[in-house]
Amino acid sequence: MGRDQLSKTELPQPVVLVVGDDSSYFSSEVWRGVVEEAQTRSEETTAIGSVQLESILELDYPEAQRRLQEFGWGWVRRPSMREPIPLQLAHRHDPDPRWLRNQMRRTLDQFDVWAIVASASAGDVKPLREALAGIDIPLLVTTDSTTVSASGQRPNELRLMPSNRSQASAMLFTAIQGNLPNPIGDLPNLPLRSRPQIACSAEATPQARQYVKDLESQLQKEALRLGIDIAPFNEQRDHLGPLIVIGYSGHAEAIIKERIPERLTILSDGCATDSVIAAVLEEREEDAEFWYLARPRGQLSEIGSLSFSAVAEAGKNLLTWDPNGTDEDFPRTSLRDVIKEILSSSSTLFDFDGIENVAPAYKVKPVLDDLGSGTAPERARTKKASRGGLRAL
Amino acid sequence: MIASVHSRLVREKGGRFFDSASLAAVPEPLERQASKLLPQDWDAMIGQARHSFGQVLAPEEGVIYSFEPDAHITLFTNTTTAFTRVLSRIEKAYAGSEPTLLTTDLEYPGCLAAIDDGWSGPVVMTRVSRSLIGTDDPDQVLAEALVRAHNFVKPRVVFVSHVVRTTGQVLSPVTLRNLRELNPRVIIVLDGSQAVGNVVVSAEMLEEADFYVASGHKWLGGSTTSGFAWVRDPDRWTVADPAQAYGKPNQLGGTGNSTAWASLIGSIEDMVEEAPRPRLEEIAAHNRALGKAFKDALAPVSPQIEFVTPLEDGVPPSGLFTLGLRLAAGERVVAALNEAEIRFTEFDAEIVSWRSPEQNRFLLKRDSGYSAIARARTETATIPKRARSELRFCFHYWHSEEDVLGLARAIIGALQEGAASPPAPSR
Repeated sequence: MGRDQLSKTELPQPVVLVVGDDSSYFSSEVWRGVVEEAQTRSEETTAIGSVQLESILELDYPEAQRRLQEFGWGWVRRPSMREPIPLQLAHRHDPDPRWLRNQMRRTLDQFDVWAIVASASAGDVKPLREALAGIDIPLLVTTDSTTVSASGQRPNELRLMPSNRSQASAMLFTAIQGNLPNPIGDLPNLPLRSRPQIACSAEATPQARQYVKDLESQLQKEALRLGIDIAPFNEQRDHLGPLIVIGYSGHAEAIIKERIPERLTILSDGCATDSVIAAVLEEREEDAEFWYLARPRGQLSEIGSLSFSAVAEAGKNLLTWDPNGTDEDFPRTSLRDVIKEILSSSSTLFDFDGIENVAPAYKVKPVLDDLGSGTAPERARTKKASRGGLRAL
Repeated sequence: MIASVHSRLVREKGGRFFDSASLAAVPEPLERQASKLLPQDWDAMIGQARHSFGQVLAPEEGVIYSFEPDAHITLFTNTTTAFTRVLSRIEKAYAGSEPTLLTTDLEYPGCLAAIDDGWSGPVVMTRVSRSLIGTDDPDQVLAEALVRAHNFVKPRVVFVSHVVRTTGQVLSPVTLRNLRELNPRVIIVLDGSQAVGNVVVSAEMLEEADFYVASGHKWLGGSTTSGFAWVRDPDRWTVADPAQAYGKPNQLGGTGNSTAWASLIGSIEDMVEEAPRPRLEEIAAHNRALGKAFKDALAPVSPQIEFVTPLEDGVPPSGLFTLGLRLAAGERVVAALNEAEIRFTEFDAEIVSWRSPEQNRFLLKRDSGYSAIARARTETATIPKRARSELRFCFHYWHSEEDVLGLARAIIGALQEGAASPPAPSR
């Protein structure tokens, strides 16, 4: 940075930073939505992908500045209105907190980051929060549905994914409804003997620990409230009651391949990937219609798109704010709150209570539901033949 | 009458007073004179003091005069009290949201203590000092460090000095504009303690600040207990404090010291005369010119001196001038100046004296306020004894070139005497 840059008010490029696990389907979906929205808003926008960013972060500061200039992402004289650029910082699963902190620091040092979109799994958002301690940039969490205690929350955070409580409730409701010959009345008033025996299979890998622990806990709480027992899958392997599967795709695929009897099986949203749907079609052709998936109502790419749009609009509101105007709430209103307001007013997917999205935003649908018309087995067969092109979510 | 008392004080003490604060104790005649004002003239005096402060803050550009002066300026006992009040008001406005405050390790320790005591959110302290010494372009380093830290953290509040108390560097309004461009809702609090009466506090500068805190006992030549807070938007922020602020005109009953205000009014009347802006520009140029004369006069001993204050063509950015000397040489100079009853400031364990191989590095603390500042203090306390002394001299409007040459002669004498005798054992 030279003297001229300071005197001419040349500043770093404004960006929306998307941080997530580059091997994760969820993360890539969010990134896809962000990039598409950016290009819709401005055809000239070129996203900076993780590979390009990493090559810049390897350099020392002056060299990185030169490289950014070469790429056309150098410091710029600011017009009062502008669009942010999508920027992707990828990490592997369970990143080393020191490595992540270092990458974040270098990124925040090179770009004007308006907001950070976290698109990692539950366990991976925690080190990101820690790396951002003291940094007052809004953090939008898009893929992590775990419940965060008040003490663990960042003040400037917004959780776009509805919570696991909402997911647990939706899964349990489907399990009960699917188990009853004639769905009736208010569940808590049913005689105990009518209540279904529900089994639960939870992934035990370290990767899934935080997500599974939270969703399982929410499920147990909801079941207790309804007076329903949930037993471990191993104890009920041969029963026919509903089975709830909590975890990620690998765990779901293992269950799918098991020769378990035909039974209503509900997969948590962590299993909602193309590969899982393909596995259901391939391995469970005969009983595919009994397999259900819990999913947020909004697709991840849609949430990514809405996130980017809200940040860009909030940024514009901020930049066009008149310091001598009549906005008496200024400066008490934070950028996070402006983003929150825009999200709430632009989509029914969002309804915030504090930082949590409490919109009834989970649904549980048959895996086959998105695959076209016909009977379930027919749809399954049709789609099995063309599963290479599946985009289930 | 008051002004003439102050003028006499300056004439008597000025040539030996190169500190930035409190020319001297208020003399008995002035105290008697001020006491006669009470209580009936108290309101008028406070009003006059507010007006006087208005005269040294961009008077001709309408920043003060286009508004009601009373609404913009609140009088406190000192800068830190004013700053503490400002902090508490911002803290209240942001209650529950844990806003981040950005500051630097160049700020006055009293103000850092106020942050430590009163700020519940995270505090980020950029360690600019590590980068300043030894660089060819310290102004650029300072501006860059602030902009980069601000871009990094996006704090809600920035607290920074208009004139750096250790190096005398003057913050540019362009730097503040950059901060605001990056984060339009940032609240900028400027510490003008070393600026008001030393350099011109322009309307351009004040337009970028939300609060400007300073005091009258330094470069204005007033007595102690004369701090103030200027607020750009008094409709949005009220800093008046019934307990700490002076202000019967605002129906506040603070524990004001009328003598201090009488002294201050007198000193400002002496200083700005009838045409404040040209006079302040003249004073700023005069102060810098004295710095150049001082530097030139030290030429015979310049190999023994490091000029901590950045110089452009030998001219310092303000009337504040800091020298670095090897420890033994520094001790001889201190002893000689004390002997001659010349007042100045010796920095002791100031963070600015840190020297680090990490030149131009961007360093941050990103912990909560308490731990960050506590750690900064611990590091300061445990830093090995410095290998050199740092002495600061302030060249005021009342100094003449002869005053400054006399000071230089005293320093040269001490250094040359040391060069002729065996080196003192280091401690």
